[in-house]
Amino acid sequence: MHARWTALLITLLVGCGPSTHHVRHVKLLQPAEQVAVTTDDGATIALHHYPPTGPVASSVPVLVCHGIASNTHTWALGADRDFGDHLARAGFDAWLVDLRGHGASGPATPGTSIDTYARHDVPAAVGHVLAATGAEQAVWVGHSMGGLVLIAHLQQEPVAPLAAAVTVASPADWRGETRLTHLIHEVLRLLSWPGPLPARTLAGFYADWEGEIPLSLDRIVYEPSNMDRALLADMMRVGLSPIQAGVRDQFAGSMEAGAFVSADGRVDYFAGAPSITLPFLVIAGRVDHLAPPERTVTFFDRLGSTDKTWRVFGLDQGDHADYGHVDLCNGDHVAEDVYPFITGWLEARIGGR
Amino acid sequence: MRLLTLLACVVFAATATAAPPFHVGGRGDPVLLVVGPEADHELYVHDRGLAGYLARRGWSVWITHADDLGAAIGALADSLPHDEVALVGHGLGGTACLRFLADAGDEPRVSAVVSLGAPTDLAPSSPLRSAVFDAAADGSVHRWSQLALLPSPFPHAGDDLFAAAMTDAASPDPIVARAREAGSVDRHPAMDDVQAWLATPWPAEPLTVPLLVACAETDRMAPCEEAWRARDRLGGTFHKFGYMNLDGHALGHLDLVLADDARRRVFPVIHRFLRQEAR
Repeated sequence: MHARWTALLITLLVGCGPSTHHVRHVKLLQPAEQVAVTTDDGATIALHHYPPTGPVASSVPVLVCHGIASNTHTWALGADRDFGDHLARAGFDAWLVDLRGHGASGPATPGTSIDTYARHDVPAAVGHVLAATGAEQAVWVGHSMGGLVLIAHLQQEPVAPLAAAVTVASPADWRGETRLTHLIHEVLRLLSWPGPLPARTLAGFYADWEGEIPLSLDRIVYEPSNMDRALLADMMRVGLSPIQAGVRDQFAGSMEAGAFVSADGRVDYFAGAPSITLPFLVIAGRVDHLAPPERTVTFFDRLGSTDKTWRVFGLDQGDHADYGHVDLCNGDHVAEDVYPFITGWLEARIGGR
Repeated sequence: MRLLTLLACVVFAATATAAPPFHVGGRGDPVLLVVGPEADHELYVHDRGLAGYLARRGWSVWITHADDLGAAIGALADSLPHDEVALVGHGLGGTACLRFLADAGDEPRVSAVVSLGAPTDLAPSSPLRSAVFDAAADGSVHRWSQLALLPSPFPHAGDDLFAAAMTDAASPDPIVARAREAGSVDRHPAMDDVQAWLATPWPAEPLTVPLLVACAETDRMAPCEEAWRARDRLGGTFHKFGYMNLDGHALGHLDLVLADDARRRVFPVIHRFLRQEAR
């Protein structure tokens, strides 16, 4: 015990990260291709393509985006936890997106915020996919911040060529404060230096010293009963990316405003929900502490869409587990609960098109 | 105090169908605890219950059934040296409080309201709750503990799923024994009426009475999205018990009033709110 703490201290003092940033337990699936796309402001984002492997269900391509501090491995963590592979097997043309500064993408540009992703990365990703497939519309599936990015984008580009949208654990309602959100806000405020937060390095430490660090903060982001511990450690090693300072500041500003607002604080994206009219699926996890069900349902209520669905995943719905924040994407039972529900919802709307 | 509580239980049980509210104990500003059609007074007056907790902290604690709520408020407000009464209701008792205020007009004679785990919506649906309602409607259960004897509504789920509808698995054991008593209903709840009641639209305008809408993280009978929606429509304050407030393990539906640590986690929140709004 003391030896490991000493090792941790020495590692911190010499400024090195953990020795490994690769998976130890899971066998990651490989997409058919990875392409680099340049945005209109000069950044480079990576798209991971999973073409249909079965009978084609729809010619409308599906883009899938990760959340804050993470990358495509949120949605791609080996067999039965790879949503790109699941979509491809269901006959969809799937594209997993790395936003700038995440995963295989190029570095983030100075001042990158949620608005930056919404204004530049979303159109670049959708534009490339439409050009590559010849389709006229696409679908966006976003986890957490990846859904907030879409909500912001839809209010900047009301004619975005999207046939439907899915947000998974995206906390669009920021009113009120709990002790947990207060704690997160205080941590963000304390860490307000100009550079990005090294989430991957910190998570790598956590994975390597798991069990010896007297914290259970990981419960904030997943439900322990729904997540294989070894896979979770692997996700921490490969599935995390830095949090950009502008993103951190936009979250902190939203917490202070009690509303999901633009980086300059002038646009309230929650209040603008009635302007969104495309078919919309809002997903929440019963024991998600970052995007609890109540913080998604009032956004759902305000959506202007006539075709909209709200679904919480938990034991009370007949699912195999109560779901937390990240295990909605890669938990032990996603291939039985979450993935089929999303593909079924998509099939009912874009199937045969 | 325990003797007083026991006496209160005996007398109240004998008069459970009578309209007048029953005084459990305590002196001070009146608080009326409201029992929903799915439960009975034991929810509040067990040996570590909310009634005794409030009575010891300077409240005059009364109990009534939801059916008699309007008459009980009128009787108390007329007979006591107070113009207004504070309401606290768990489960459908809480729903009854909110529904009463929504329909009461400008002078409800209510100083403040606390709803605990109160279902306020039927949509989006919860298959587990629907199964519980169905079991109650067809007479399969008369006590919540009997839910554990029913086959699980979902083939892959554990046998204790119905019990999970009522209490979180992490709750201490004594709650099971209390639930056996507190969940008893001698009369059939008219579940069709309850469902019609829940489906009734809420007013577009916020309530003028101070309101605390509280819920528990793994309450599967009154999930927190309903409490947040109720607060969204009716105004007031929202409080979620569980990890979001870093106050310990998750709580389920009955845990809010029956768990051992409800005295440490739940009741103080109610007391503070009432002290701030109803005195």
